[in-house]
Amino acid sequence: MLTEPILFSRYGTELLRDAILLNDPAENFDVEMSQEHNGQTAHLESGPAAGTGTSQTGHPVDRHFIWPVFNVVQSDFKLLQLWQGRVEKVGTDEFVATLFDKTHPLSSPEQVSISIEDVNLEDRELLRPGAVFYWSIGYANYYKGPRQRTSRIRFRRLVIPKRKMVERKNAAKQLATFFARH
Amino acid sequence: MPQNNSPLFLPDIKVDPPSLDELEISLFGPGRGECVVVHLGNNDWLVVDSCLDNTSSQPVALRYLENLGVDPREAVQRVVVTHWHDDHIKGISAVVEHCPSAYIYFSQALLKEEFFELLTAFYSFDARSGGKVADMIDFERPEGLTSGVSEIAKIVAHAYKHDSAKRYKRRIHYAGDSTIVFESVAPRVRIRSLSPSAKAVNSALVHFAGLVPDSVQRGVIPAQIKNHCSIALWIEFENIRMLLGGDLEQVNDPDMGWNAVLEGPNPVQGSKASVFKVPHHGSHNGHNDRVWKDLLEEDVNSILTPFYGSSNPPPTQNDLNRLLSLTDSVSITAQPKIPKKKYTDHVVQKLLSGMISERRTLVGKMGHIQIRAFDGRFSIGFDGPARQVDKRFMREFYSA
Repeated sequence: MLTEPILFSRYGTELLRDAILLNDPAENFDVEMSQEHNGQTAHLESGPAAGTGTSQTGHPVDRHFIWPVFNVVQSDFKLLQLWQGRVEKVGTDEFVATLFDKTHPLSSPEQVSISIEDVNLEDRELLRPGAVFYWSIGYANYYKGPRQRTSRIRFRRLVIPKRKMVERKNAAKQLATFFARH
Repeated sequence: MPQNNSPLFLPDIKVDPPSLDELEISLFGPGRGECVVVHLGNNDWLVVDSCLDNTSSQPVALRYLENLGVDPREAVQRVVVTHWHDDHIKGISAVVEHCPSAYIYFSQALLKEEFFELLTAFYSFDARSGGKVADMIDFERPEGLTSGVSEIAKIVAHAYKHDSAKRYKRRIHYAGDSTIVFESVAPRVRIRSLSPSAKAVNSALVHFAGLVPDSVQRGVIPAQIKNHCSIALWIEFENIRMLLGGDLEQVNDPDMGWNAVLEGPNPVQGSKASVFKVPHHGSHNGHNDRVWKDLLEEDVNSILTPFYGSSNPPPTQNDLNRLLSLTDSVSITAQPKIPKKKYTDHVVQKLLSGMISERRTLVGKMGHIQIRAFDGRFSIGFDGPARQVDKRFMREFYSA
């Protein structure tokens, strides 16, 4: 087994934390993401092993969580509520989203209208129908600073490589041919 | 046909299976969608669309049939997927998997390259290896984030895999504007699809092409609004006729929606239905006056599910009043509006109300309307929040 380092952008690490919180392996191991979004990457230290898979070179890989070594500001965040959302419609001032409650997973999903102003400027280019985001509400305790009620909306930045898009178009042709026989 | 079309309303549903020559039509919703289950005689059953049971998260059709003592593996002969929207399709792939005797009918638009391109853009699919069903199921995490397309992706992968291996006789079929979906001799039963029209299929393909992402950002297919390629079904059971309207809409085009049904091949030949599954949750855009005049008996038994998820969700008060002006027998599976969810943490509740201008709960309690025809008369039973819509109902919900 090889140990393959996974590089995450700053957003990637944030998403990784959310993914751990959600126990969502789909988020944990998207190596392709780090390679296409490596504008701000960091070398990361290994953490506890979390699963296995296959690398892009075809080697079996023992994937480890890799923790960031940014200049960590000592702070913590007490999570009160977490949702995962998908964007349904984007208007001029607001967007409509469906929220799935991850704090109380058995409760009903909701459809809400959220102001675009509540989305970080750098995330707004990702705001489109079908986009997936995480919304957390809680208390942030800053090092030598105040305790604040905080609401954070962050958009998922997973990507599909262009070569895979071509492969997928070919798969669509094969399916159409297959079902045309019936 | 029943000699007296005036139904007998019962407080409960019947829990014993219908006799071999007894008609039953059951409508479920809106747990997470809408589902119709029909007994076609001789313990043959039809399932149209799917929704999930609130408590078990299992497809309600399977749970119901098992509760009746019916084995879905043997008994379900047809599964019809009217269209691909979330509110009609949750759990349909599980229904298909658990009903290996069933033929599955899709709108033609959903088996074309344009739709598959949309499907493969969002879901992993390796056709060369016979369809990696696991990949698709994998991508369905996190729960709830998928659109109806994921259900279709799983069905397609299942059919492809098993057909390639020649291990099952599973076949997927098209349904168009005059397709025979099922026929039997005793009792005499025939099911035809009345839609979608050829033009509606083409329109849907153009729509799908526009939804294929031009970027490589991975997300999910958002909720869709167009229902032009929904399947509507005409069921003849001996002398009883039923019209299941799916989500077919009324549009300003003679070759699409209900206009196309009325102006098209007209396979119903002047006969009229005594049971009507009202299309599109009773909304005005599923209504066509000529459908009521030309295809439905007076005082037709109308059944519908509400929809939770828009700012003015159907059926509205006006929609219900319109239905009551057309027939005395209107039944709904659940209350038209449900209260907003409350968060126990007051900080969350407070921040939420400051940030969100509109909030709607999407899933309500499941209701069940069961219609059976016996001794020349229809009986209509209710389970859960399902109710007859009458003056009392309207006062209760709209008097304030």
